[in-house]
Amino acid sequence: MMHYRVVVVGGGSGGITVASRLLREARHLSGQVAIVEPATKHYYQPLWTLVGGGAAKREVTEREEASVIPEGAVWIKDAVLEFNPKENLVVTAGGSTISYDFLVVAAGIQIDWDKVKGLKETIGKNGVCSNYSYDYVNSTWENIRNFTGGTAIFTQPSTPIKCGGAPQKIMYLADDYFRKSGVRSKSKVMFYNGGPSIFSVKKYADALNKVVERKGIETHYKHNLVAVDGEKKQATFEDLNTKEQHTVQYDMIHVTPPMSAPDFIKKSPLANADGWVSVDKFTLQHTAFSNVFGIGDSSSLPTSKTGAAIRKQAPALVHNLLSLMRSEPMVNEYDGYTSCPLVTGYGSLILAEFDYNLEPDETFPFDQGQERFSMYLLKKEMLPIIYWDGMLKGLM
Amino acid sequence: MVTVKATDSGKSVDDALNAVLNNPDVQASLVLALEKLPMVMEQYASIERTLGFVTAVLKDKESLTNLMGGLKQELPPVTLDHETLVALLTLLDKLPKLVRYLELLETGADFVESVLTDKESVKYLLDNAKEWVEPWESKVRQTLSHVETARKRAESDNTPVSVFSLMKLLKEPAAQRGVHFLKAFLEVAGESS
Repeated sequence: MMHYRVVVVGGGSGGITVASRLLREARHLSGQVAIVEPATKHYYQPLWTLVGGGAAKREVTEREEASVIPEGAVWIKDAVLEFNPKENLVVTAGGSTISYDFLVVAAGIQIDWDKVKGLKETIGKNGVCSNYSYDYVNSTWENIRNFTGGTAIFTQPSTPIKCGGAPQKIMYLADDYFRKSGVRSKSKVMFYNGGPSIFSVKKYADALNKVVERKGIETHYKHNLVAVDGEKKQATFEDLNTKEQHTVQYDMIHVTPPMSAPDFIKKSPLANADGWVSVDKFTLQHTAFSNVFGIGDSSSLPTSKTGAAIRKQAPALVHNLLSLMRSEPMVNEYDGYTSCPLVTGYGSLILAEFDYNLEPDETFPFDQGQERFSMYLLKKEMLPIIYWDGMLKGLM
Repeated sequence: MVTVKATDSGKSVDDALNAVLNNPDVQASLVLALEKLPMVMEQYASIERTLGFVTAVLKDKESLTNLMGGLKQELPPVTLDHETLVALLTLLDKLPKLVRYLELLETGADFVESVLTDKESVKYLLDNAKEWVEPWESKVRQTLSHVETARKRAESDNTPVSVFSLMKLLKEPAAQRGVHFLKAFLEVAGESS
């Protein structure tokens, strides 16, 4: 049986950032931090919006997982199957048992393609596309580029999703492109959202409602996509208030699939009633097992699930974990900060930043509620660099 | 507690000593002291040896000269005076703050190093910079080529400029726009004055 001082479950944004920070701040842990991750590739997913909009290449978002594993960490190329927090053990799909002194769960979010009837069978063809997979993201650009008019539908489910603003970003890019290619006047753009409004923070919601109005987009709230018929090009939606279903004819549909906590988390003793890793929203420590911490999308933190949120969660988690190791009180608190760079067109962006109280928590000394070219440049050119060379290295 | 009073006569001293030595507490202490004597002697011998070594070194001028010479070579020249010591203490006092800044600086330097050594990031930045610059570059190139062609044509055109050719020129859309703008500008200027 293998033993490590710290075991990190997941080698995505959260897992790598935490491991890097831990090893930077406590160099003596070198060789004693294990990252359990089965994937051999690591993706910078925030750029997939621009890939789907034809403004970035898919290939620049992909790197070898080995290249992001921090020096001093041990990569266990395996998937976790079970948690046994009472015994401080995790069991992997490969049959290994790993024991730990401290555990960090950063397992990400699971995409439930099969929760929409017919979606799996038709995704990537028949005008059905999605930015939520490296395999399908190019299909979004194909559909937008070849759209000659008709009905274009963009969906957002009522479940928690990674980056709550992403479903509408691709819609704004598509609208912009349809205008450039001269087909917007013969098109109908519709937004079907399972949520009750365009955005949860009033300041940005006000700005986005103006964008929607200016662009002439038809919005339907509290509607979930429940089925797609690729052959007939029909999408079926359910009204969450009345439970009534209705079918809409489309020429292209961009689907944001329903998402949930990974199955192996849901069935573990670490999960809360909704399936997420149950952690204290300030310290990120597990609510029942004191030597367990959770970060990122798989955690129960009541904030928007983004990479920017992880960037602020990681320092709090690492400081608290090190304090616990030294038997000192945990004083670091995460305030729920999250950020959503809302692309509103080619060259314009509203940089939303807010906290647990849904109050704006902005970085720049100007009104970030306005659409700005500078913020678009920040997203496209700077944030990928900050991610690969700052965040994943435990520096930012 | 037993106290011995100094007296002039030897008898009274003997009596006092006897009284002390007959005290059971004193007897127990003496036994304990005797038991610990070998250990005390061993420590004393060790201190004596160390002192002996220090004394020998201090007396050995040759060794001392070599030691100081070596230190001078290894270490930078330092004048340890009152001012230096005060500065050192001030620096120690400021260290917590300085360390915070140093950590920030270290993070910044590490980030720059991380970007510069990351070939994929450098390529991404360069490719995208090219993407932004290219349309402007081609526009500038196109304008320069137009200017050059016009210059060559003008140089080779020796025909006299007539009123008709000026009238024909005025019908060009670009010239029309210019004249319209000039006209509107003069009107606005006239209204405001």
